[in-house]
Amino acid sequence: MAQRVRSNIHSFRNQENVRIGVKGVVMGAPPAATKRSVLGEIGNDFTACGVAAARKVGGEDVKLHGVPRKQKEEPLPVSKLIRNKSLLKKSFSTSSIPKEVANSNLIGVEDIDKDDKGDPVLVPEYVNDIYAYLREVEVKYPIKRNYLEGQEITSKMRGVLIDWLVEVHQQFHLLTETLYLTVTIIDRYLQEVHTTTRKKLQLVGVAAMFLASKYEEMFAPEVGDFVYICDNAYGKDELLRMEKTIVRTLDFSFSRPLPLHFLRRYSKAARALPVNHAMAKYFLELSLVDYDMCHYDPSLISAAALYLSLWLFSNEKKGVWTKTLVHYTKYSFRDIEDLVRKLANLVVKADTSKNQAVNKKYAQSKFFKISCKPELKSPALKRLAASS
Amino acid sequence: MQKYEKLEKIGEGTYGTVFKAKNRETHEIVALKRVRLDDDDEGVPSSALREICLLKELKHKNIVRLYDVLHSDKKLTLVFEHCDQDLKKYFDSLNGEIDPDIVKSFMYQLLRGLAFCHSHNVLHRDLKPQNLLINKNGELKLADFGLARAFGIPVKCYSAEVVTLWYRPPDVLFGAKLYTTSIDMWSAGCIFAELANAGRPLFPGSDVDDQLKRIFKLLGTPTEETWPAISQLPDYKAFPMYHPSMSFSQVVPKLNSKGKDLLQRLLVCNPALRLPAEDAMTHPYFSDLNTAVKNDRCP
Repeated sequence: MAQRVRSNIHSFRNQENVRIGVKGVVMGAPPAATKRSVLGEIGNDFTACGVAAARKVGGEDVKLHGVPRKQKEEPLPVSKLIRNKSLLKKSFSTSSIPKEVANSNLIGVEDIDKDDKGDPVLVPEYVNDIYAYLREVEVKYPIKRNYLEGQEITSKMRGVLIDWLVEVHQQFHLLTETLYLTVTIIDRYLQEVHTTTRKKLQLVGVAAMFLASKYEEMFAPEVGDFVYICDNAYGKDELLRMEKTIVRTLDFSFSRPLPLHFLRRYSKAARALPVNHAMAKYFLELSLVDYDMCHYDPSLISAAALYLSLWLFSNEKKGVWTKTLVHYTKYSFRDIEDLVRKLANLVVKADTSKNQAVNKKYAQSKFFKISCKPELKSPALKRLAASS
Repeated sequence: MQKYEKLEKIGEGTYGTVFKAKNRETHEIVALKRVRLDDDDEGVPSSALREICLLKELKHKNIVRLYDVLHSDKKLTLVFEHCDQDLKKYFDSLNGEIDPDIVKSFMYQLLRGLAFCHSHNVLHRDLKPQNLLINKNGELKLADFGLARAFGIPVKCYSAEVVTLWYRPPDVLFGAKLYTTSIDMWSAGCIFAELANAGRPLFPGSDVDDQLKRIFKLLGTPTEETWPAISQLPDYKAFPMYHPSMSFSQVVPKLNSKGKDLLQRLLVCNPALRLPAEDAMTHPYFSDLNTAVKNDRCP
C-alpha cells in the first residue's frame, strides 16, 4: 500500500526538496552564477553585487563567537525607524506594511517584492498581508515551555518519536510541511492531554501525521499505510479513534504557521544562497526533534536558523542581520541572539545525538550533503555553542 | 443533537447533507452540515478537515460563519449561520431581470470576501452561484470551503481537479497544477457576467474542450505572445485561432461600460494578468456603489 502511495505522490510532486540542482556550492564564489533552485521560485534578481551590498548594509558587526553575553551590539538604528517591538509583534495592522514598503523611505531596507509584479506564484499583491496575518495566528496557538512536566512522556521519548517520524515522512515521500505540521499537532496535543501513556505515544504520532497529510498533501497515504508502518502495533480502528480525539482536542485548529513558511520569506529577504537556505532548513529540522526548542514561535526560530546559517558561511561573520532582514522578520539581532546560540549548541551536538534521522536525511546529495559540511565542525561554531 | 431541532433538508454539500435547524434554546435558525465518519473508511475527510480548519480562522461578513462543530461517534456536525438562499436559487426567482445596483452590490461583496480569503492565504477553488449565499438584507457570503486550501509562498502545485467546469479558468482547464489566487478571480468574472445577465451562465460548456472553445470564441484564442509558456501546460492542445466575434456589449448588454471594463480585466486567459480582488474593489465601476455596502466593516 505504501508503495502505491509513494508512486502516486511522486509523479505529482513539485516538492521543493527535490528541486535542488546545484551540488556543492563553493562558498565565497561569486553567487551570481548560482541558480537558486533550492529556493525554487522565490524570485530575486540575484546578483553578486546585490549580495555584497545587502550584507554590508547597516555596518553591523556581529562577533557572536566569544562575545560575552552582556556585551550586546545593537548595531542598527532601525529600531527607532521602523521597529516598535510591541506594535509590530502584537498588533501591526495587515495594511501597514505594504504601504511602508511601497514608499520605501526606510533607508537601507530593500523592497524585496518589487520585481515580482506579474509573477502570481509569489502572490506579490498579498504577500505582506499574509505574513502579517501568519504572525497573528502563531501567537494564537502557542506551545508552552516544559509542557511535558509531570507527564509520563519524557523529552527523550518525544525525541525518539519525532526522529522516527522524520524517517516515515521520507518513506512516504511527504512534503516537508507535512512533517512540521505533524510535530506541531503532536506538541499541541500532548500539552493538552497530560495523561498520554508511553504505549500510546506512537499512536498519537502516526495519527498526527495522518491528519497532517490530509491537510497538506494532494494524495495522503491511507490509514492502512500508517497501521503498516507501525508494524500493526495498533489497529485501524484505534488510529481512527485517535484521529477523532486529536481533532476534538485541538478543535480543528491546524492553521498554526510553520517555521518553513517564514524561512522562505526570510531567505528571500536575505538573498540567501541555496546552501544557506538548505542549511537553515537542516537546523530547523534538528530543532524539531529537540524538546527544548519546541516552544519557540515559528517565526522566531526560523529567523534564528537563517541567521546561524548566514553567519556560518560568512567570512567576516558580521553584517549578517541586515536592515532588510530586521524589517521583514520584525526581529532585531537582540531578539534572536540567545536562540542562535542554543541552535548552535544543538547543531554541534547533532553528531553525537542518538536521534540521527535528520542528519541522515541531510547527508543526501539532494540536500547538498549539508549535514556533512566542514563548516559545521568549525571552531567558531563550537565557540558560539559553548557560549549558550 | 438535542441542541438543534431539524427543520428541513436544504441540500448536499461537497460532502454530507445540509439541514435547516433551530437552536432549541435561542430559537436561532442555523444550517447543519453532517459529515459521516465510518469506521471502515479513511476517518475525517480531508475536505471537512480543511473546511473546518480554514473557516475557523476566516471571520468576515462576506464569508459564511461556522459557529460550532459537534462531535459524535459516527459523525461530525458543522453548525453554520443560516442564509435564506443561494445565488443560484435567487437567479431562478428573477425571471430574467435584475437591478443593476444589486449586481454591483453582490459583485463588490464577492470581491471583498475573496480579498479576505486571499490575504489570509486561502484559495476557495469552487466559486459558483450555488456556493454564494444571500440573505434578506442583501448580504452575500462565500460558502462551501470543501475544496478550499491554505497556500504557502511561493505557491506549490495543487490538484488540477478543482472548480466546477463552467467556472474553471483556462490555465486549470489545460491541466495547470501551479495556480494561485487568480484561479478564484476567473470564477468571479464568470459570476459577474452571470449576475449582469440575471442568471444566464457565461460559459456553460459540456466538457473541457467545449469549455475552452466557448472561452476562446469570446476572448480570442491565446497565443505564446499573449500568454507565454501556454504550450508547456500539462494538457495543452492547440485550438483554432478564434478571433473575438462577439463584443462584450453583446455578451453583457445590460452592464455599463465601466462594468464591462472590469469584466474584461477579470476574464483574462493568462492568469498572471488577471486582476486581483483587492484591485478589482477599487475599480471605477464601484465608484457609485451604495455607501452602506461599501462601508460595511466586518465585525
